[in-house]
Amino acid sequence: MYRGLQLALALTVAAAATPAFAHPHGWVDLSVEGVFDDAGRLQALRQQWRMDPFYSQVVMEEMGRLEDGTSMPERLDALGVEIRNNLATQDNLTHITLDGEPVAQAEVTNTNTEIRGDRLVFSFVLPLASPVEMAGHALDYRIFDPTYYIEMVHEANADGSEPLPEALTLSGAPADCTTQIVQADPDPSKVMEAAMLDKTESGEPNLGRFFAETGEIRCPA
Amino acid sequence: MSRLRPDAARWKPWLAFGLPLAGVLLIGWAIYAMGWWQQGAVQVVLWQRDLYHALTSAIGEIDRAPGLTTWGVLLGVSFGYGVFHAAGPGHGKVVLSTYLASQGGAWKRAIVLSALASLLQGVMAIALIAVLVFGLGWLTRQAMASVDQAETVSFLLVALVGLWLCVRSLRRLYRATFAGARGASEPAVATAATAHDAHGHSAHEHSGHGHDDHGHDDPEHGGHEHAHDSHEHGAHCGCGHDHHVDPTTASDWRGALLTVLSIGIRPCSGAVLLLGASALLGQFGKGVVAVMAMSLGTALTVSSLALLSVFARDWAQRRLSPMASRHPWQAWIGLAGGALILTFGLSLSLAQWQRGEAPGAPLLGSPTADAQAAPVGGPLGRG
Repeated sequence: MYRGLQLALALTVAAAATPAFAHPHGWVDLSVEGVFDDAGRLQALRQQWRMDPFYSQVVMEEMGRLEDGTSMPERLDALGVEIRNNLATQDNLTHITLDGEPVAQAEVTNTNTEIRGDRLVFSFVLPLASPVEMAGHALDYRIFDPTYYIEMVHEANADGSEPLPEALTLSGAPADCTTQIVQADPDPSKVMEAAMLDKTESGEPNLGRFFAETGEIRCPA
Repeated sequence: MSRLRPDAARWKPWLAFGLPLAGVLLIGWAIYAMGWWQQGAVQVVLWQRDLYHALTSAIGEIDRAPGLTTWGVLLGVSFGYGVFHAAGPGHGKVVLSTYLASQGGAWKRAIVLSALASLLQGVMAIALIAVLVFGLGWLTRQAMASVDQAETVSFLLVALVGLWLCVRSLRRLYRATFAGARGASEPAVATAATAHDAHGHSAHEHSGHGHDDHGHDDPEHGGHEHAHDSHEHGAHCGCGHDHHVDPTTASDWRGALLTVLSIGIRPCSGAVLLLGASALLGQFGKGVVAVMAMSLGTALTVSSLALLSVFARDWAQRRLSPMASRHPWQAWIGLAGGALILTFGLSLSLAQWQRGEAPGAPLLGSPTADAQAAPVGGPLGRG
């Protein structure tokens, strides 16, 4: 009997220990532009998020059904404000480092929401708390949903295997600055560790960071 | 009879059980240590992600160019999505495996229950969109948010299943003890009173136990008891070829169906989204077909897991039964399994109750969140 109990327990534990992996249930195609000021310092990341077709459909349905006398652009703006407010509580899902040190963000400006084809497109400017000197420095950013419920990747080629170089551009940058998008290469053992231990308050494992791409901006000294 | 023989008889099954188990554990450890398992798990996530992309484009594609190819792609992708989606987290698989491992059931039953639960999930998703969106005019987003309520119901039902299994096992144990007390003197009465229902089996085992109070070191005596029992009652006395609870027992089927219901009542939010989006594209019928293909895929994964738990249990039982035969251990395992499921259901319900309303999606709001009594969560609420 004791053995039987052990057996039942062992089986349950085995079943329950199947890694609690969240699969993405939606995705966002990203484009980023590093905006420099006249002094050659990086002052903001202008971002464009293209929501996946399913989510876009669902949002368009909802906006189409509103009966409050507002026009479509007004509704889209209201949605943009709401998204911006939601994002503000989570650092806009953007993690920026300069030479490995975290870079503070200012408040998002210039939000815009529009429908382009079958996709909802949300764009905004994310200013850095203060412009950063880039000459001789390396700036990296990663944009991801920590729970990996939504996958966030740079605009990619047709089969989604390679990010497009155009997905990360620079504006007003010194001529010799370079950009690169580095694909995620999740370390399975770390992912597993996080899946076992690392839970958010909603009980989802924090896997998003492992699958996040890194955008790199480099300017020579 | 010397003291040696019982000892040998007692050790042998432990060895027969322990050695292969050690082998399996060793292989498992090796796979884990080499990182294959982790790699496999990450690979599943990546495939799942790709399949989701493929699924959205397949729906769009079939809209543009309906034909054999696009249909094939849609069905294949949906099936694959179901297979890998089920390879992820889910309380359903835990409940089903525990139920099968502890309550008994042949492999056929494992497959039937898994398939039913998976199909029910798909049907629930279809019903949700059909009734809420088409029938009541809800928004797809609201219908998706209602998955959360279905989840709560599901957790509570899981707890109910656990409770019910506990009560049933306790009743068996109680009757077994009761019958055991007098069973020695009037076994015929105990048998007659219980032969027609499930309690009869454990009652009978226990009557053997009562008999054998002092016969613990005497396997031959026990063996004899058992041969006798099985002759009288068919296969239900835990004597080496245990058939567990008779699957035709009505109360048992009720339990099985309740288990299926507790798992299947919560549709996959991915399926609801797929249906909602395809309905908006005017492709609801195709969405339904895709979701059914998805359910088949899910059924494949879930029933594999269920079969695994049934085979593991049968195997262990064959090895262990010579030792365990004098105990009503099936009832005890049933009780343990019931308690586990109950705890599981309660902790899930509690966690959800503590969490309160599902946290809104971090990134996406809704344009009507303030305008009307907003349903829980954003359009992409977690689920």
